[in-house]
Amino acid sequence: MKLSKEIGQKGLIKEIFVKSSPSKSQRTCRYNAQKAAAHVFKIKEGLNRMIPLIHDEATKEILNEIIKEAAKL
Amino acid sequence: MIEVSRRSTKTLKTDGLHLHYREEQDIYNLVHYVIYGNNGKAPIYVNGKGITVYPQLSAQQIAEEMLKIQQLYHKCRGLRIRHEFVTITKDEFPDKRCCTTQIRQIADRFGDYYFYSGFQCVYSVFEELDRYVIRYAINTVSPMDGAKYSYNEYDIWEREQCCIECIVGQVTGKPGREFDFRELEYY
Repeated sequence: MKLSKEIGQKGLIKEIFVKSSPSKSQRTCRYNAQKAAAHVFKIKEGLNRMIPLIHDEATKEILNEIIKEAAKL
Repeated sequence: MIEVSRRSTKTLKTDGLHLHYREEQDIYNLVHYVIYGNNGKAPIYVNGKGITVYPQLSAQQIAEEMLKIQQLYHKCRGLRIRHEFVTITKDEFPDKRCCTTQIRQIADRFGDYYFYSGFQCVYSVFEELDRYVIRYAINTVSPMDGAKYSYNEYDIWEREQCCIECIVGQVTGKPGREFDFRELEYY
């Protein structure tokens, strides 16, 4: 009973799935990363264009924070 | 005179660049050159498209961003970075007082050409005695779909030449060629 409960936990099921089909999971992961890269590319450019148009210091600071976070992606 | 040129060989040129454009280090070296210049020549304007520009431009960061895209799409062979430059003689600017502003606008607008084609680029404007040289370092792998930019096709060069002549015409007010940005894949 205890064991089935543990298996039922989301994390364990996920682990078993990943171990049984690593190549498919890796492919999906890469595909998602590629899709994200395309979005980040566009978002970064949007933010770069927006910054010079903003003259309010507080807003500029917030945008700079977003850009810093975007740079990590 | 308005001219788009490109460089992909290791021949040593007058600007001191000795790159092969095929190694990871070449990406960093070219980006570094575009941002900071060399031989005592510093650019008068630097910007980029589809890369991190704020809070400051960093050669290390930009090179890493370009490399990540190449690794993500498993395209780490052949030409890794393109070096294109646009030469515009100062006689193309009828109003000498606005040269600096106008050359920045031209550089930004032509940067859009690469952005809307789906490629990251960093660029800068160098001023010489009788001309401006805008240097572009372009990632050869598109973050949009992983496509590689064709390097040697005459059609592409012709389209770039048409685009820059159109932009110079629009910015300076001189009659130029027609180019429609809507032709570009990601406009």
